[in-house]
Amino acid sequence: MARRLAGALLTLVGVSLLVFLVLRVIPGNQITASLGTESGVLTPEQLASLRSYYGLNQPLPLQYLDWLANVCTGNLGLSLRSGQSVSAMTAASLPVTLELALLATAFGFVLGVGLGMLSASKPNGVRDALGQGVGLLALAIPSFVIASALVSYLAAKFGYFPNALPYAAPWEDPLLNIQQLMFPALVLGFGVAAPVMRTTRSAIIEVSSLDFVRTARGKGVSPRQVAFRHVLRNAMIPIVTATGIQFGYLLGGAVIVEQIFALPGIGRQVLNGILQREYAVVQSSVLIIAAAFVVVNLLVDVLYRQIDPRVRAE
Amino acid sequence: MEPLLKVSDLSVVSSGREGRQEIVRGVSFEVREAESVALVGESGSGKSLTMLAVMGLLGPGLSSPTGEVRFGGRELRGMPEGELRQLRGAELSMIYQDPMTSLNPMMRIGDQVAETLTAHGTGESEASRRARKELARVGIPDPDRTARSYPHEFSGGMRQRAMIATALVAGPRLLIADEPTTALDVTIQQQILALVRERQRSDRMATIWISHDLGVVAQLVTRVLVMYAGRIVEDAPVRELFAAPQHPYTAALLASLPHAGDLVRAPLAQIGGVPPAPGSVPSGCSFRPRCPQAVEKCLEDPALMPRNSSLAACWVPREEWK
Amino acid sequence: MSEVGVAIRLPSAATAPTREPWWQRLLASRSGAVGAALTGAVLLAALAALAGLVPHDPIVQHPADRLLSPSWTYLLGTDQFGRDTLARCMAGAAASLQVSLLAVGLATVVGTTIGVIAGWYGGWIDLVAMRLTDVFFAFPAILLALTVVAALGRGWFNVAIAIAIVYTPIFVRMARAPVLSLREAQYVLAGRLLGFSVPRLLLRHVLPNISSIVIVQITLALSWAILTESSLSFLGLGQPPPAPSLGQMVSEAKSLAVVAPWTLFAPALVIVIAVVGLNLLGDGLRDALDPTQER
Repeated sequence: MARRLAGALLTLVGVSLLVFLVLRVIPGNQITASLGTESGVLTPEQLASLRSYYGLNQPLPLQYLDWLANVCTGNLGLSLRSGQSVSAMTAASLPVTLELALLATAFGFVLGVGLGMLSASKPNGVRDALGQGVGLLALAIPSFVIASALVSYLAAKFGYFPNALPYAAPWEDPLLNIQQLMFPALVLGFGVAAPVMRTTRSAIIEVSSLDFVRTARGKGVSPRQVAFRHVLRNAMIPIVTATGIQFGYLLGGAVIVEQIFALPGIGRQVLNGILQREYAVVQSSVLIIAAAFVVVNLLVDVLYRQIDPRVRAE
Repeated sequence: MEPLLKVSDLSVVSSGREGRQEIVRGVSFEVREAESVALVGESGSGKSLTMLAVMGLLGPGLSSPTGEVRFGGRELRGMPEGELRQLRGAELSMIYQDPMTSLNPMMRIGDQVAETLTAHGTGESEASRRARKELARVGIPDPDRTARSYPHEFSGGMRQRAMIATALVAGPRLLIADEPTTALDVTIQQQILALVRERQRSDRMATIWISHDLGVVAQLVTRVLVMYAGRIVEDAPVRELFAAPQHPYTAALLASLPHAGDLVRAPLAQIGGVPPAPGSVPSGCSFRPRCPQAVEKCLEDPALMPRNSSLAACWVPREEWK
Repeated sequence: MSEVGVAIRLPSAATAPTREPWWQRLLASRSGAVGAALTGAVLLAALAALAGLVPHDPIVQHPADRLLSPSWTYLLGTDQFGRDTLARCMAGAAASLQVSLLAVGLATVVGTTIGVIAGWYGGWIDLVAMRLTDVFFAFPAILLALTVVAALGRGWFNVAIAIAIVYTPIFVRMARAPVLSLREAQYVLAGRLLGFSVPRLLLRHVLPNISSIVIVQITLALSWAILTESSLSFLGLGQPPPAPSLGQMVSEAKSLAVVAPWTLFAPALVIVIAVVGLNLLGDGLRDALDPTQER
């Protein structure tokens, strides 16, 4: 376990390096220029804080360490347009993405496991072709297509566009919140369902051929109990792992859907940062998302160890 | 009196990539109440598949197109799956070779033993209680703790005992034991065999022992069925089999067993050639190519015929052997 | 223990089936045939667009013919500027394939090379390679692509670079795994004993044996690249207009979807056909090239 933590930490360091280096490709004078001309909104203290965040006019390795120090103490930079700190922006946007990702993963899990069980019930039969066909379509139809079509039709045909209203947090207006998140979660859920279905199918087929399933049948256990208590329970480990990873992906991968449905999530935060040349926003947000992904992977690992009694004993 | 189990002309075929292959054909035998019988043969002779076909547990790609199986007077072939399930575990039970893989790794042992009962209508607490009693009966120390534990926490011998508990808790009339000791240490083997033999006697339970080891089963059974290339070639009471085998294959098997009293290590007699693969069984008697007694008549497939107090699938009586 | 009989089994006379060429086997399987057909169709459309064999110029506007539904003149209708949807779809497919092929080509060459070297030499080279791929895998793919495009700026070439960067680690991992086991294979050990040089061993013995895995991965990578390219151009980060791109067409069609559904569904359909085709082709290739591979 300690080994896993150390590995994750190392990965996080690597992630921060990568984020730092990728965005250093942008010529430094662009950043200074933006600090000069568009900095009218910022107070001198904020300006100094941003300068410190960027660590300009220093050799590269020092810039990196400076930036890392800033990040670890909570200075994630500022938005030039609004003067808002990135940490404040993230505190507001991350929960939105989390809620969306949770809903989408839940839907994708149910759909994916259902389709996978259907496919695996009679491999290479009609049901299998159907299940796999739906899975392939879920993969092939880009999320932006479904999302765009949905938004257009709902708005034009039914005048239904809850996302035109400002975003409502679950504790502010739960009904509106659900309305706003329902369709985006559905669209993203299809993307989650495809790999979950594939994992479920192969896991079930593999487990079904194991000896203890035969033992259960030999005891006279009903097919339903065999399917759930014996096959599915043992197939769950890879399924849960795959689902967890999909959830992690959604944290940054939901950007397009967030954009189309006007949800103020962290993916949209990155995108807006890119389009508005807010480099601090982009740099810090990407770091946060990647760090969150590493944490999610770690949690999935822990979860899987809890489920499997064989590993739990270690 | 009608035998407990009567199998007639059973066959098992596999339909896979290489087409349709007959693995077992024309198998017929009987097992009476409380009788213990051995089904002996080399690996690949079809003995496990025969019994899986009897239980109706053949895997994908395998089927049993012909044959009748009468158990307790009822015909199992063609019986709806729901009725068959009521028999499995309760009247007709099976234990398997590898206890490591034959137990659900994610289910507690107690639950797995109790499952045999709950699958047949027993209430949960009652089943739990009887499961614990059964675990004690098969010689597991501290049955309460064992019941709450998982299979991986135990050694092979204990796991096999747990599996036996699972199979016997409902008091079946017939137990099929598919090489239950092959995967275990030699010392544990004897314990397990003794356990089953004891239960067989005390519960008056019929047993079919599947084995590739003639020496081991000799002490456990009253009758032996010898299988070769998917057919039963001899069906004899155990003493007669050892004293005077009626089929050349049986004779060759016995000759290849080392004798306990050998002072000088004589080279073990081997049977020339190899058993035929399922797809290429010769016409006529399947043992003919390797048989020292083969004659012209052997081109015709022999059925089991009475030879003294046994049955043997051979045209040449023992008295006429070279 | 006293074994019964002899346990050796000789192989029967007719064991190995005769091997027909891989493309026959590919077309014999349902998914392979359908996949090849769909992919081929998209490829043909793209090539036609590149050769100029389009019904109308994809960029030219016909203001009098705005938002026409499909007809014999405009087989897939026109958009809000009177541009022929079919021609734009074909040109968009060409653009998509151009980006995807470049990106996947780069990722394949770089990734496979690194993966083979890491798997062959092992030790700290392998350790570093694995840690690096871990870092790349810590990013949701689309986010990484977005970040690279953010740094490099928009345009088709930068999108290709971004996709290549995201996919290279996947090829590294995929190429490394079989090399680890092949390193100990009999004929490789024989070669090493005989003193063959490392490049020769790698090129002549190791590479051909991982080629089937690489080829299958290429088709899957291409399908993912097409999805990502269209996503990025949907967001406005691809080649700027008036260059036709499938993602941008969908973005422009958002407001028109109810009035002129073909403007949205035509480019979407091209994307779906390409992705489905490549996936099925990949499945078919996997079975045709190496039936023993695990699904």
